[in-house]
Amino acid sequence: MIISRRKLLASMAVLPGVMLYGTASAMENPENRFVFIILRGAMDGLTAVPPLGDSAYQSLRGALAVGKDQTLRLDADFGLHQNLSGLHQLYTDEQMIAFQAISSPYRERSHFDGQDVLENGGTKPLQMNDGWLSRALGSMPGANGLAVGQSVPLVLRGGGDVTSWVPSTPSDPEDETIERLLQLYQEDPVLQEALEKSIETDQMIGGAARGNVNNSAVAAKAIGSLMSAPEGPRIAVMEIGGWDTHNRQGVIKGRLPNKLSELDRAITALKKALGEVWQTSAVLVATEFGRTAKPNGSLGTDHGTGGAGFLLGGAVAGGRVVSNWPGLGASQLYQARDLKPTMSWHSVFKAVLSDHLGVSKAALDADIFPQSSTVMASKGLIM
Amino acid sequence: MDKDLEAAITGNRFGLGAVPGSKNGATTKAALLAEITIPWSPDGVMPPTASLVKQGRAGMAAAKGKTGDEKQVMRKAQRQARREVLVRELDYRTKLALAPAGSFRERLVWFWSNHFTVSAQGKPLVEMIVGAFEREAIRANLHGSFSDLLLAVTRHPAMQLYLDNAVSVGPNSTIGKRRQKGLNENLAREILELHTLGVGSGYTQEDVIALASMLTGWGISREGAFQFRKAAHEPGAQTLLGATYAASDERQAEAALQDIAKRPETAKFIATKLALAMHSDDPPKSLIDRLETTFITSGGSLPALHMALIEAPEMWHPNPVKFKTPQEFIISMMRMTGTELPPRRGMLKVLKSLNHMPFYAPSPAGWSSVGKDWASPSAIKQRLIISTNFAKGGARQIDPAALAELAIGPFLSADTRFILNGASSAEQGLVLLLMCPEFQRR
Repeated sequence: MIISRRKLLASMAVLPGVMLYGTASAMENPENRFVFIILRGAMDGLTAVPPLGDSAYQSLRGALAVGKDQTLRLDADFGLHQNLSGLHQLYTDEQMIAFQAISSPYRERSHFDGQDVLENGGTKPLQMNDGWLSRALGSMPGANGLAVGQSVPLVLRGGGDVTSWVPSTPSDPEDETIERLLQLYQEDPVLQEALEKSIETDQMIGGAARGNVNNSAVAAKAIGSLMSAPEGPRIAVMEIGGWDTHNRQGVIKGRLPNKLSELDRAITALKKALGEVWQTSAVLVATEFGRTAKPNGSLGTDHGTGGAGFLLGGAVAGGRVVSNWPGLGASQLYQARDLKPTMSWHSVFKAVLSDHLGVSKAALDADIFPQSSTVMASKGLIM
Repeated sequence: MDKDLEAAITGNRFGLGAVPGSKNGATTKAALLAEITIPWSPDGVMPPTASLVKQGRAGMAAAKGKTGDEKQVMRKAQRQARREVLVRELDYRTKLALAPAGSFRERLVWFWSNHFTVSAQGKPLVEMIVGAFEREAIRANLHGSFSDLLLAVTRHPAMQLYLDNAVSVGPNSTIGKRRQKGLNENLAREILELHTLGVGSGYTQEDVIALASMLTGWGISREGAFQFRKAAHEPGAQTLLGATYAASDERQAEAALQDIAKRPETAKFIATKLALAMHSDDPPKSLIDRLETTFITSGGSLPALHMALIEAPEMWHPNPVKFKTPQEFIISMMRMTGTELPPRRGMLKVLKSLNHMPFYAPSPAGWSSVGKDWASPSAIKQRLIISTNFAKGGARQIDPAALAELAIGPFLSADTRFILNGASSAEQGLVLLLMCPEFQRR
């Protein structure tokens, strides 16, 4: 191919209707699984997926620029941080897509609002009290969702059959006590539902997974083993916090490189635990926004706009970078400070929900992402 | 109002949990009103910020220049030292929360400390002084105005470090020009978004930059105290929310903070948050309005605001609605049963497993005040596991049904009473009491 796939895809963005890959397979496959990983705190996309082909990158980033020898090659324009070697293997196996210069519709710089918009599926913070994945789940009869951790994140809050799970300990209470407790909760639907779901999930996993839920790899492993069960959840959400690197974020060693390693380990553990189900799975890694293009005064980066993310899994038509790269030149930056977003997360969310999980376009445009019919689903992300 | 109901609401909804058999715990509205007028005086038990900073910095300096194994040993020693400080802080905080008297005041400390979250997550030096921050900036300032509290919090070294203001430099200041350093907007943004006006209240990115510029030069001295460094301060007047601030030193940001503290958006934001934390996930508008009006008419007086909460008729309804946070659950369990979890590591482990480790909030927004956020299936399971463990160790001398009457009697439904009375063992009865809706809520 003379013209790179990335450039071809970018040019196709203005030609709706052109289809590179088929999109019908998911409809017939109710076994497809989807995992959404939220990186809370705003991952610095220019470190994770450095645009090595942009001549402005090294000088703009200065001490925070990642060198060519510190990255794994993606294509002529982009590298992948060396700590993401597991993701790079998936890229080589054509099971990973990297997105660059992507964002939600949110254009301010508050973490909490940014995460709210990423999860509520609208265009404004607090626009809705439930999440887009929860609404999608509501449109998938018989499907259930799972959050690993002490609470259910907004994206999966609302209606729908959702449970959350933490690892077991040796001292689970007696069955009789639980029965009586359920009696006590008859007039308290919130506690009743929570307890019932916890019991169901425990029965499903059968006490297999133990460990510290704050360890991302343990959480990912639990998701994998629950999802690979025949009646397992079709949608799961996990969160990895700690990406808010305002100060001394590091290039090869330090806080940010450590977080990238943690993400890489979690993905590897997830793939392993999913086993054969990996082949029919898609995993999306997103963060609320990017960080400033230029380092701040303390060798870190502040809240920005355009960022990076990943889509991985056996069901993904991977092995490429999807980006309509806006450039890092002074006039190309958003508000003269951030990477300009040229692609909406909503396009990717829609593509995964329709092409992978079989959600109808009508539901996507009206309920799941309200009044979004002008935002097209990205083509060809799913096999 | 019925005396027993008044005592149950006083002890459980306002206080951190009734303490049956104690004569010192507040049981009346009058006692609550008296409680909040007593200012907190430092007891000297815990070290002040300056000495902790000194200790932390000495450790870092000792490790500097070391390599290999020696460096690893030094680092480990520092980690242990920080952990030791944290455990002592946690023990101290637990002790204050368990004292029968004064637990509404303690609840208010928790509320304001969470409102102005400093989290130990990620920054070693902050880990050393986050406890001191709560004592020096929060506890010591609950008897003045919101404005004084805001200033004390913003000046405190823990906040300066946590939200990166200590490293923020005016680009046109002496240091900025010489070292090519620049602004860090983190603290300014969170002040507007989380501490005062509230997100979406109408301020702009320009306002954030203006406040960040005014806050340049605010930082921390070598001795671990607040310090204003003129050489890092961005010169020139700044405009924030339409007002111009011309002072060329720390009085510039001070004046801006004092103005922000008095704005109606701040009154509304604080009133809503307080009602949410104290009343229910869906507090009545009348309560929010009442608190908002008090905030405005009293010029942001905290005692007036706290008094208005105690006097509000909305707070005295007979049904426990608000789901306890994990910390509230654990402390009220210990208060009711008179049995402490093993101090130090025991308490730490339990609160960690509930995802509610004091001083370790996940973000500057602090812990959620929405009860429902704490009631996921996994969280309920964890509470049940903890209750089961606790009952195994602590049920020996307890009659759960009788204890329930003393602690939360007026809240109990007929069904709950019936089930508690029919428990097959004291151990099971205690698990059921700890997990029943009337104890899980307040």
